[in-house]
Amino acid sequence: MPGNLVAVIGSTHRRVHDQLFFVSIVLMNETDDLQLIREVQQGNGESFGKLLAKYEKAIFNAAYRIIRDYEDAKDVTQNVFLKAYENLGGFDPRHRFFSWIYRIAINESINLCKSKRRFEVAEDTRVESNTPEKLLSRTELGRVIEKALMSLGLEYRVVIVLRHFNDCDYRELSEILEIPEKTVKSRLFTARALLRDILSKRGIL
Amino acid sequence: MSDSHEKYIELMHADIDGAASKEQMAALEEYLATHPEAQRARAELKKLTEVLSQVEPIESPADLRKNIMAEVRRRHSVLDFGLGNRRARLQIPLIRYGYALAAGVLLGVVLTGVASKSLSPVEKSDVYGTMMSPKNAGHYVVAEQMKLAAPGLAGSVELSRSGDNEMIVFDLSSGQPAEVELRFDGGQVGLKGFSQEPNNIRSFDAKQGSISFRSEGRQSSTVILASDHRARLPLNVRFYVGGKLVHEATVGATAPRGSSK
Repeated sequence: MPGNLVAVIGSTHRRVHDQLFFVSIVLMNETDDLQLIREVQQGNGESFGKLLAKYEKAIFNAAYRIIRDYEDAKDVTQNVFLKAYENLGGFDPRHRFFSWIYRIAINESINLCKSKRRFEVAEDTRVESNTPEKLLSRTELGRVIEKALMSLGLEYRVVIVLRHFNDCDYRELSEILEIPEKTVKSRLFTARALLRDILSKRGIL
Repeated sequence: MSDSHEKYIELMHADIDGAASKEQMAALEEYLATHPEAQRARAELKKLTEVLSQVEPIESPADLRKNIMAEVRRRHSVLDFGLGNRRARLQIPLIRYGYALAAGVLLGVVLTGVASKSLSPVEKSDVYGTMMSPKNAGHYVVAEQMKLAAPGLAGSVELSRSGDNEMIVFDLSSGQPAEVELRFDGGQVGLKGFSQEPNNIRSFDAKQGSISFRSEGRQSSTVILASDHRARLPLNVRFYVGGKLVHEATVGATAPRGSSK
């Protein structure tokens, strides 16, 4: 099945590339962001486009993983960047733009979830016979994980998304969520335990 | 579960998060060697991490960036960014007002029928708040010019016309912030655009029949009004420095009148 093989290789390559993309955002020199912010504050709206290009994909992915609705994630991402643009005049340069915009994104996503009561998705407790080997594709695995994530409470879902899909470390999680690192760890450990149980029941682990 | 076990569970998480030190790793390995249940817990945790790492990032919508930037550009002429944080926070209500203004302008455009007309590129860009530099607005014809020499304020006011549009350019120079108020018949004239160069709008307010803004240092402010049926209405302009009225003039009438106070 050369076609499938090509698809798998292409898919893996894209995944690695995307993960590197997210990591590169985290590692990106913060002075670059500050320079762009200054330019926007001085009236250069086009510099905002560079900030947008850097963070758009990561913010969209975070929103999508929390909300699990493509169109809503699109709306949230748009709102996030427009809010950031509106409030960039009040941005405190002592903080990191990365944390600031993620905080807006998380708050927007949580608000949308609450308004739509997406967090009340009932947990499916049936034991399924899926195994990683039986899953036909990564896309399908992604759907199972998404479903499992939606079974988590919002505060747990958010830490899993930021840590595992957006590659944020403890410090960044603490900054974004405005909670102490100790609370970050405790929440993350609990979230993993809950997710592990859900995935075990669904035959993934 | 003992406190000791809890401690090692925490170390397992720190390990997969890349946050464990060499000493912590050594202590964890030592503990795992004699605790099979801890080995199972660690294996499950690693498996979970592995499964999560297989989830592919999704592509963001192709038009998302374009749409956001279009909206950013649309808002740009009415948004305000201060040089300092304290100042910028004070400007937030102005930013909010900017949206109301933008919505009002669009509504006004629709109500006055401007949108139904065939607009030139310059005029279209005016409607959406990204005004072209007045210097490039060649189709505007200068109708009136006025020199300004008032206490603490100097410069000029120029009125140009193009079809139903009236463009008023205020080139002002002041030692301290000057407030400009423009009054007109709101029943026949509506705001179509506003911009400032340097592009850092300090303050802007628009109501039916009046517009006010602040000019600081050397600043060029451009107001575009759309009049109904090419009505030639007088525009009353007042200039304030330090809260005091320093000059009042009328532009747009057949016979320009200006008087210093």
